[in-house]
Amino acid sequence: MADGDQHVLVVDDEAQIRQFVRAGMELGGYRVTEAANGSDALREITLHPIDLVILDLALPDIDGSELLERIRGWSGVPVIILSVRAGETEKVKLLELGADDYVVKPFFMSELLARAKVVLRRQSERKDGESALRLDRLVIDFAARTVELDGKRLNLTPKEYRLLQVLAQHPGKVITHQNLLKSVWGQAHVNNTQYLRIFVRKLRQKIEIDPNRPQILLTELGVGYRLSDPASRDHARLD
Amino acid sequence: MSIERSALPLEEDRARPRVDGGRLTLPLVKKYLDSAPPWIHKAMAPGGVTGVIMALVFIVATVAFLMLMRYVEELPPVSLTFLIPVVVAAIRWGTLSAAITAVGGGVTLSVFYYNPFYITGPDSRSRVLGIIVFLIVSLVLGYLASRTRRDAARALKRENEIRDLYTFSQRISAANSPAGIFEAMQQHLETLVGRKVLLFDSLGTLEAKSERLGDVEIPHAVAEAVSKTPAAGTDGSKDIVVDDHRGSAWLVRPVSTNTADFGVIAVDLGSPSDVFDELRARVVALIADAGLSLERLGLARTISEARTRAETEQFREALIGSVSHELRTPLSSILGASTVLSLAPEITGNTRLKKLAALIHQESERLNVEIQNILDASRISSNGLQAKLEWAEPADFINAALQRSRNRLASRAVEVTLPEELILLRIDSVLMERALGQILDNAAKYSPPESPINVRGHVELGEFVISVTDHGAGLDAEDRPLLGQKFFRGHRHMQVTSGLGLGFWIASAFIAANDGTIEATSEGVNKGMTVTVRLPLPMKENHQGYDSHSSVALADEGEL
Repeated sequence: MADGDQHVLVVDDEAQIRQFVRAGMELGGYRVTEAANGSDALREITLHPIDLVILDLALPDIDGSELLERIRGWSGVPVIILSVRAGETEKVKLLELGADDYVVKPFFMSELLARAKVVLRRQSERKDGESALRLDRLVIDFAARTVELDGKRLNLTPKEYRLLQVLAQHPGKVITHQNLLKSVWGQAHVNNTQYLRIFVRKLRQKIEIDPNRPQILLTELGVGYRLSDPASRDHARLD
Repeated sequence: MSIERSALPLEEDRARPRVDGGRLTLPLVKKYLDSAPPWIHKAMAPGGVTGVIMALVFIVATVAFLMLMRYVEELPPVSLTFLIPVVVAAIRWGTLSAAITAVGGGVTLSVFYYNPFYITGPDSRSRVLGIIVFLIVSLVLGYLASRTRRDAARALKRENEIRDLYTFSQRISAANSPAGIFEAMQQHLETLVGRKVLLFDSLGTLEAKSERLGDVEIPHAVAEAVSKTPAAGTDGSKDIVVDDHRGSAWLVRPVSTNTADFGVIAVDLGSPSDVFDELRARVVALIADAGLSLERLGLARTISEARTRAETEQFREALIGSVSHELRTPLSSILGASTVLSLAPEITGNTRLKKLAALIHQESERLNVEIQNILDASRISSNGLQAKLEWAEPADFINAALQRSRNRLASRAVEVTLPEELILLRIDSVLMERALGQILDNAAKYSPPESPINVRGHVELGEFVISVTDHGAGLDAEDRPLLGQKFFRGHRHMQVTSGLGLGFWIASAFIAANDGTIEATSEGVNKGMTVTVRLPLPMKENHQGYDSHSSVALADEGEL
């Protein structure tokens, strides 16, 4: 359960969606404010200290992606996008615009709660400025530039380390192919997805138990990769 | 002169009814003419023998007239009088007739009037000169007159042809259906040639073989020619077929030289004659005109069909959009709310309520899957499927599909075997994941809940092969050919298993969009089923960077 101080703004024009998201988030221990349109949302973010925005893309007054851009103009508040548009290009675009995560409608409340938890944790860790990241069996020490698996130091090549480092800067967050390629290989190689495939494979062979069934370095089909966050692991879909 | 005179009444009687340009058919003359050299034929047309005879009649008549006049009055030079029959003969029967009249006139003049054989008088030279001048003048005049006549006749003929073509064009442009054009063409050609015109539609070959079209018998040679006529693009020279039984020539050609759609036309042109080529040319021109109109009409139809399709497409898009929104929005609320209920302590603590919440959840999820299938199917049907091919690992989409289907796979054991080495394919991972998801869902749906499912990926003959094997209902002989059809569901499962029968069809379409193939095999009823998906492995030279590890971008030696 999150501490009761955390304040979530739910932006959706559908009252029914707001209603159950509010119920779900309150069950998860968050304080919830609702906004039915873009301008209300902007006002709420300006007036109140909001910790997380859950933003629906289809708003009556402002397009959701435009609103996201405007928020990012002055605020680093975590934003999770709700969308019925499930296209991968759309997801990539939203991530590039600064969304922290996205959930495609219809979704399970447990999934949204888990994502919210990860995003908020990431936000608080960033403030702490930790120099090492611990992901289950994997420990990445950014200061020492070392990676340990089950206490044993791994021999990573520079590019493998760089790839892991970029992913580890935002654990749990999907990093797009383009972003990874740009960070590791440079702007000229943003379309050479095959480099990424090869190095992800190499990295998985070193950090995963079974590189064919990865548990740490996860694929988001058509969008990018993310490191599994321990916080997101405990959400099992309700069956 | 006496011979000519005796022959005259005989010839005149027979010739008269045919004076207007017809050929004389008197057997003896015909026989003689047939053996004559071609230039005589040419010069004699159109007057023929009639022209020659009439020329002689004119000369005799003129001489008789002059002799009569002589008793009345002493005449001035009478050579001008002879010009009248020359001009009449030229206009009426052509150059040869005029020339004979001129020469005949000259001879007569010299014999009866100038008497050149007895040149004694002081004016004998001027008389000879007079005859020569007369000859020249009458020949020139005759030639000019006959040419004028020819030109006039030609102009008249051309005018008729143009009027004919114009009437026809008007008629076919008034027709607003191919049937109207065909009917107009057939009627018009029948009027023009005065014989049969047969139309064979684009499948006409079969009909032609039946030897009859309606109540018209089709000559064997014509039927054969129709079946052999190439659909389009004939050179136009080999389109005449002779019906040996009746001795008539048929023109057999496609209505349009550009497309086979308008079928073949056969026109009975009758027996070959001097006007045959001309008639053939006119018929061909009319057919070409009709063919063009048909093409124009076809084009217009294509355009209107395209417009209708675009409108249908728009409507479909709007419908999909609204179905997607109107069904999914409330569904999102139901599904979301049910998952909130499942989290609430009041409900998790009550087994009965917990089950009910789970039921709402499961059923709304199922509804969601079916809506997604309908949307996918509609996208496939409207060709809206566009694969975004990228380098991707098959393991990624296989894992994603397993992850997505985990609710339906539930408690059963899923054994996954994948190759150790890195495989890269040019695929749309998202589509492949959905396709495999459908296959897994089907495997789960049609096999006992506890039976295992095997997923195996391996490289085989330049392809990456994924096989999904279940131990369930299998396929019976009846189902096998139908599997893969839209909305097909095995008759054994209709009553007991839910679904719309779209899964396998959607999977096939998604896999095809990735240049892959899908195949279902089964040992038989209740012996399980294996669905095999084959995806092409890219050629080595296309890897570009994948295999050429020497490339700078991939150089990554040493340790940190």
